[in-house]
Amino acid sequence: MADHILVVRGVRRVFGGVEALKGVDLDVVRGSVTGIIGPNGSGKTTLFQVISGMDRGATGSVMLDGREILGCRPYFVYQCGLARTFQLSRVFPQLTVLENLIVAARRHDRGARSRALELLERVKLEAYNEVLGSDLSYGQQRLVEFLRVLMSDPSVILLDEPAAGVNPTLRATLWDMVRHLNGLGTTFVIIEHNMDVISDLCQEVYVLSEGEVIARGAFEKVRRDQLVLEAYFGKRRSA
Amino acid sequence: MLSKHASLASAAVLVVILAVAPAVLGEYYLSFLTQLLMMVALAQAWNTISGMTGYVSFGHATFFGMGSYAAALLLPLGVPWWACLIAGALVALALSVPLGFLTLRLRGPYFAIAMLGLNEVARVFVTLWVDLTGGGSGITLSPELLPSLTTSYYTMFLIAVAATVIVAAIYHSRFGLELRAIREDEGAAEMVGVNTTRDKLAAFVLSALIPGAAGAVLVMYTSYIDPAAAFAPAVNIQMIVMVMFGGSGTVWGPVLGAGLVMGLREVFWAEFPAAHLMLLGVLLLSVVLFLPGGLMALFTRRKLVRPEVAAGPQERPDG
Repeated sequence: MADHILVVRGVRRVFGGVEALKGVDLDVVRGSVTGIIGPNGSGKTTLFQVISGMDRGATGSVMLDGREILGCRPYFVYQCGLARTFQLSRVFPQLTVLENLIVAARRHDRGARSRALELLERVKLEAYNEVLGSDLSYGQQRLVEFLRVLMSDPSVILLDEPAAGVNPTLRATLWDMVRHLNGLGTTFVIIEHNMDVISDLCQEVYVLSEGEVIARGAFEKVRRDQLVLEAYFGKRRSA
Repeated sequence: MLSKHASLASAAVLVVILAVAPAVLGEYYLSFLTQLLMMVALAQAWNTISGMTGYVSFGHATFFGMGSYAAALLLPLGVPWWACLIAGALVALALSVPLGFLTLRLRGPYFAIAMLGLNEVARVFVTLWVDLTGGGSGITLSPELLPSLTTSYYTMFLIAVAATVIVAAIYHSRFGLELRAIREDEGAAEMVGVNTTRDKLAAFVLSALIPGAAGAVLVMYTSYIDPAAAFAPAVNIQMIVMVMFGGSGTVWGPVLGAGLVMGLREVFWAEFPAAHLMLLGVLLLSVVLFLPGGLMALFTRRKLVRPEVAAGPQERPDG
């Protein structure tokens, strides 16, 4: 039986009259890379908001390593070992790159500075450690945001379109880091529109449409699923 | 930022000058310096919560007023002046914990307005409790109960130094880094493990202690207090203006801001009595418009970005 590190059951989120999530279930295997795809407005980011504690208005259940985290505050979820990046970059603009990383380390981590410098060196951003977040290019900001979540050595990382707006070189660096960390045992859940990346990285893919999981499985299987094709391209007109 | 050595050397010179000031200055200048040091302390207190976290408070005069009244009520009972000072700080602290719990749930203008309202509530409360506070007539203290001007000066000096040391310690600590992250993006800060509620409350409580103590010293220095003076909106405005003028969220900005604004106000008042407030207003407006980071921005050294390290052209997100 698969060892699931993140289990989502019947998560429902309603905004006014709109049901953004209609009882979503998700099973993420420890050490895997799971992809979440779906058309715009299908509820992918809302699901991340709920899992990470940024949105605490949902019902259902989110278990992280056997512990219920639905309704917990984001800092607590982070301390439990689940970190995330945002759809649009949210580096701290008036903090230096180094400060951006150190603030994300665990409170009594004495090695935070050297760890931050090591991470920056790995992506060739070490020359930027005293530069303000606002002075970085958008792609660099995304990369710093990604490095930031690595500071606490999380067991699960949620990436929300991490390559959007990132130039090809930095994008390759980002995916290499994901592969490397996944090889070391870190679990990833990735929202991504680039199907080549999903196909290449993810062992399992969930397809969301209008707040529901309409397909799940290996990428080759879901890409041929009739419901998925309809969600992306609309229903075929009958002859 | 200023280099560490330059900062320490400036601080040492300033402390020595202020420590020997009573020996060489007359009563007028000593009195002016006492007020200046009070404003340094108040500006640093405001900087602790608003400069560091971005939660702009328009109500810190509440703690100042409460400290003043605590001292004014305890001194006639025979409590020593130094104990009254501690009592002023403790009253402010006791008030700040529940108020912080309530108001720090609000953000942006809502927090600012809540604090402004709090100041008004405190003023009305003290005005209406005539039996205890003397209402609008205030409380006049007998001169024999009060410490000398020199004692008041040195006490205010110690409070201003303590406030600056607290801000410096916070700024260079992990706690300070978390507060600045909250100022930048509270949601993102919480998502990287910062317990924002705990940090904001701690900063709020620390920021209330200093005005409480300063208010207690002021009442010993002026020998009179009434609600209009204790909870004056002008005190709130002055704290904000001095921090903005010097540099919000920095260690030395409030010191520079308080020193320059108080000094210029005195000079303008002496030279252009009819237009001194207008001149000061134009100057403040100029700094806010052309130096949004305050005067400390002039001393800030920023490392240049080395574009050759960046690989490839930048793209924008597709939404």
